[in-house]
Amino acid sequence: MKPTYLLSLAILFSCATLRAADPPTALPSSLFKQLEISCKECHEGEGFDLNRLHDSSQSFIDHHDEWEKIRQRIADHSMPPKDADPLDPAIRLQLVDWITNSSRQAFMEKGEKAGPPLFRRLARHEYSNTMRDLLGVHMDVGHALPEDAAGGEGFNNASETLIISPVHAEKYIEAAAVALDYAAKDETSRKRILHAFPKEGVSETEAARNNLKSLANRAYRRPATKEEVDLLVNIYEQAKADGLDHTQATFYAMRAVLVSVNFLFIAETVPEQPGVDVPLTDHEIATRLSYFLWATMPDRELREAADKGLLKNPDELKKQTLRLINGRGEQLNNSLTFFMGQWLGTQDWGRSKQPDTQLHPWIQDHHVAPMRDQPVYIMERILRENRSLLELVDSNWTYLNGELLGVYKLKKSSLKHEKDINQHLVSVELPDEYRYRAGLLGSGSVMGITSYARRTSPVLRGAWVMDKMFGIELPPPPPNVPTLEAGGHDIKKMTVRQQLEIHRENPACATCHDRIDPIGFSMENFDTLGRWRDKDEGGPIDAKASMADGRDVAGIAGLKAYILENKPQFLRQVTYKMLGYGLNRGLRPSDVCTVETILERLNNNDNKAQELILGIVLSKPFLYKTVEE
Amino acid sequence: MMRLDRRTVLRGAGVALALPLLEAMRPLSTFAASTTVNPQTQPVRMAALFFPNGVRADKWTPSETGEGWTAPAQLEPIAHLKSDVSVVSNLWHQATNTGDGHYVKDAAWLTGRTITKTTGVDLNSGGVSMDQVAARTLGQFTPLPSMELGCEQVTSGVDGNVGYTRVYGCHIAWKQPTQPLAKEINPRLAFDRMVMISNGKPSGRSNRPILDLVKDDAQRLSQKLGHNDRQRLDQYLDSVESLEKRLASLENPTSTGWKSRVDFSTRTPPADPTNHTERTRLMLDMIALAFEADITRVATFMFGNSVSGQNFSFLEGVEGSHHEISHHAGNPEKLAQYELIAKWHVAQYAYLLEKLKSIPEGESNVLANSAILFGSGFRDGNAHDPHDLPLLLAGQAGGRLKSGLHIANTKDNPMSNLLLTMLQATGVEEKSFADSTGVIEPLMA
Repeated sequence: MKPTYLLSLAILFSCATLRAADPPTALPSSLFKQLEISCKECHEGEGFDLNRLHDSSQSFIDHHDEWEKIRQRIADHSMPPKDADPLDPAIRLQLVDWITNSSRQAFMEKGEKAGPPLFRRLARHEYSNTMRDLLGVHMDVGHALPEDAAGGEGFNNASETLIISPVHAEKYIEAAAVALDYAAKDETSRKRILHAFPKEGVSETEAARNNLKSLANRAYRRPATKEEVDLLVNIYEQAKADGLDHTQATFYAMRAVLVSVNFLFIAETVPEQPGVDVPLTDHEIATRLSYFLWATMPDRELREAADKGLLKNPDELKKQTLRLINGRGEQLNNSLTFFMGQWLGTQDWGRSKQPDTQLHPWIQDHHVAPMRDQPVYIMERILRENRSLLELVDSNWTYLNGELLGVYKLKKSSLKHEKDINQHLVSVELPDEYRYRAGLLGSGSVMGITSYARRTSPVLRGAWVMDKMFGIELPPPPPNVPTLEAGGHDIKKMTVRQQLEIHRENPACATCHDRIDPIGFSMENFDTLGRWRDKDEGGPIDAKASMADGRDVAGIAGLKAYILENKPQFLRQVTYKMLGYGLNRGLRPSDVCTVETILERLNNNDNKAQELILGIVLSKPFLYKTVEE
Repeated sequence: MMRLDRRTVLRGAGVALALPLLEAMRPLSTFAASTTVNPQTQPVRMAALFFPNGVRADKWTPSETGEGWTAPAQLEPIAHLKSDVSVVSNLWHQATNTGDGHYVKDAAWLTGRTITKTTGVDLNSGGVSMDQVAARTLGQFTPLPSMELGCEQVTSGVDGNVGYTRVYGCHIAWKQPTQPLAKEINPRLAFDRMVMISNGKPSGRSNRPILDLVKDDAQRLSQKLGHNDRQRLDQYLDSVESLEKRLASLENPTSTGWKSRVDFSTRTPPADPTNHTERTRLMLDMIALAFEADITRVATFMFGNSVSGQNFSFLEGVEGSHHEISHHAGNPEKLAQYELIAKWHVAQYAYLLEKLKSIPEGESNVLANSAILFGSGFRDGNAHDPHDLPLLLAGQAGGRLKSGLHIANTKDNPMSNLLLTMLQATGVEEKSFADSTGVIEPLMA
C-alpha cells in the first residue's frame, strides 16, 4: 500500500496561514522528542522501529510511507492506544502539522518530478464525447455503459479506478454498431467519415483504406501504423468476400476501429529506461490537454499542431491551451461539469442526493439542474475571463435563470438586466442585499448536499468546507460516543445548536467539532435548498460563531471573509484538485513541488485562473513521464 | 440427451486426436460441463441481495431457534414465507473488524477478506467474491456467467474522511481482487440485454472477426506495458474473449443445447420506474426473469451503495435518509424509523421470493431450485458493528438446502461458512472459502 497521495489532504487548519516552507509553530526537535516519548516504548526494535526515523529531510523522503502512517495514526486518534498515556490534543495537532510540513518541505527540495505514463480507458462521458466528435453523431453513445466510480483526487477520470467489467466489450461493440448505423444514415456525419470514393484510378480497396486510415488516425489520437491499417483493410476485404457491398464493408470495418484498445484506451508509450523523465510525444500532449480541458479527443487544430510537432514549444502549447479555454463550444463547460461536480460533490444533487419531495412538493428537475450547474458556470466564467480564483469564494455576481429566481425567492426588480434572465443560466450582478448568493457557497446545490433530507446540518456543512475548500482531513468520529440522552439531556427541547454545544463538552468530540461546528453555524441562514431564511422552527437563526482559533465570524459574509483570510490554504486545495484532475491520478509526494510552483505562479499573477491551468499544462508531471527503477 | 464427455473423448481417441478435438469443443465447454447430475437440464441458482446501513439490532433475531421461530418486527414481511427462509445468526467476517465503518464491511460481504485502504492506487478487495467463485462453475451452463444488478448509481468521489475510494462501497461482486464488477441499474437495459441473448444469432454480419482483431491489437499493446497496466488490459481482453465465446455459442445453438426457457416476445419490457419501490421491484423482476429463462444462475443485487443516502420519507412514519437515520444515537424515534426502513428491505426480499416461487419448474418452482441470500455488511448502523450480521437464506437449492430454520450459531462464527454452504448447495465443489471452517451442517439437506 502506498498512502502517499494522502498528503493532498494533509494540511491542517491550524497552520492554514503558513506557507509551505515556513517553520512549524513548535520547535521540530521538541516535536520529534515528543514522538519518541509517546511512541518509543512500544515502537522500538521488532516491528515498527522508531529508531529508523530521524528529524531530517532525507528521512522524510526515504521513509515517506512510514512517516505517513505515523501521521495518519496520530491524526485519526488510533495512536497512542487508549491504555497508553493520553496525548495532549494541541500537541497531537502540532505533531500532525509538523510531519505534514516537514514532508512537504523535503519533497520541495527534490524539485518537480514526472509521473507514470498514462494508461487508462476513456471514462464513460469521455467515450460519449469522443464518439460524438469522431463520427459527428449527436447522441449519447455511451449511455448504456456502466457508470464510472472515482479515485485519486476524487475524479472519475483517475486511471486507478477506471476498471474494466466483463460487460464492457459487449457494450462497446453494440454502441459502435449503433453509432455507425446512425452515421451511415446521417448526411453530415456520413460525409465526415466517408471522404474517399472508388473511381477511376482508385479501387474500392484503396478508397476503403483511405477512409479507414483517416478514421483510425483520429480515433487513435496519433497516426495509425501501416500494420494497424492493413488489419482493418483485411476486415473490410473479408466482409466484402462474404457478400457485403463496398460501403457496408467499410462501415463494418470501422467497428473494429471503435472497439480497438488503441481507441478505447489512452496508452502512452512506456519509456525504456527507468528512472529518467522522458518528454511526452506531441500527440500524447495533445491528448492529455484535450481530455483535461474538453473531456474529448483533440480537435483538428490541436491534432495538426501535434502532427507538425509544435506542442513541445511552450509558446505554442500555451496558445493551444488558451484556445481551448476560450473556444466557443460547450466542451470546456462539459469538462468543468465533471471537475466541479466531483470536487464539490454537487453532481450528486438531484441524483443520489434528492431534495425531499414531501417537504418541497413543487420541486422538479428543472429547479434542481440549474442549482447543480451554478458552480460549473461560475468556474467557466472565471476561467474564460481570467478572473481571480478567489471569486469562487466571493464576488458580486453569480449565475441565475428564471427557475432559480423562483427557488431562491429573489426579487426581479432588485436585479439589473432582469429581462435577460430567462431559461438559460446567465451571469447576474448582485446588489448588496443578495451578495450572499455570490461564489460557490451561494449555490443551493452546495447547501443541498450538506443538509439532511428534512433539516440543515452544521456538522455536514462545516466538514464540507474543511474538506472541499481547505482539503483538511478529518478523522472519523471516535466509536462509542454516548448519546445525549444517555447523558441525561432531553434533546427534544433543544435546538441542533444546543445539542452540538453539549456534544462538544465531550473532549473526544471537541477536538474536531470545535473546528467543524462554528463553520456550519455561520451558514445556518441557508435552508436545505440553499434558500435564505432568518428564522427556522426553533426561532431566529443565530449565524454567529467563534472559530477554533478564536476568531468571531458572523454569518455567511463572515465565513467568506474568513476563508479569504486563509486564501493560501484554499488556493492550494484548488490547485491540488485541478492538478489531480489534469493528471488523471492521485497526487504523489513528488508532486508537492509542482503544486507549490503553481501556487507561486498564482501568487505572482493575482490568482488568475488561467495561470492555474497554464501552470499545470506546462508542469513537469504533465509534459513528462517516467517509470520507476 | 447424450453429450460428449471430454474424458470419454480422450479415452476413446488417442492423444493425437484429442488435442484438435478439444480445440473444437471450446465453445461447448463454455456452456456445458459434465457432472454427476445433469445441471444443464436441472438448474440450481444463487443470488445474494445486499442492503446498506444495517438493521435495528434489537428487533431482528428471533428468540426461538430451530423450526419454530417467530418473526420479530423487521422480519414480519417474510413471516408468511417462513418455511422457505432461514435466519442465520451470529456470523461475521473477522477480516472486517478493522478499518472504517462502511467500506471495509460492505466490499467484503461476499469475499470475507480485508480491502486495501486506498483512494484508488492498488485497489484490492483481498479476494474473489463467493458469487464469482460460483460463476466459474454455474456459468458454464448459461450465456451469462453472472449478473450484477442494483438500484443506486455509482457514488462519486473518494471518501476523504476515511481515505477509501467509493468504488468499494458500490461493488459486492469481485471477479478478481483487483476487478469489481459493474452493476446494471437500469431495468430496461437489463431486459433488452436478455432479449438479445435469447434471440440467439443476431441479424447482420457477426462481430466475431472484429473481436479477433481487437485481441491482436491488445496483445501487441500488452507487450509494451508495465504489470498493473497489463492486468487492466487483460481484463478488457477477457471481456472480449468471453463475448466472443458467447457469440460463437449463440450463433451455433446446436453446439451448446442452450435455449432460453422464456419466450421473450410474450413479456413486456419494464416501464420507467416512478418511485424507489417500483425501481427496486423492477430490478428484482430481472433476477427472476434471468433465472426463469436460464440466462444466468448467479446474481448479485445491491439495494443501495455503502453509506446510501436514499431518502425513505416515502414510507409512512419515516422522515429522512437511510444513512442519516442509521445513526440513530439511541433516539427512540429514529430507531422506529430505522426499523421501518429495514422492514421495507425485507418486504422487497419477500417480493422476490414470492415471484420465484410462483414460477413453476418441473414438479416444483424456481425458488425451490435456488439459494437466495439477503443481508448487510454490519448489524447496527450506529455502531458499525460487524458482529452478528443480519442474514437470511431462502430456497432449497434443488433439495440440497434445508429452510425454515433459525440457526443460532455460537458467537463470531465465520460468515464464510454460510457462503461455503451456498456454494456446495448449488453444486459448486469448493472445499473452503475465505476463512471458512466448514459448511453450516443443519442447513444441508
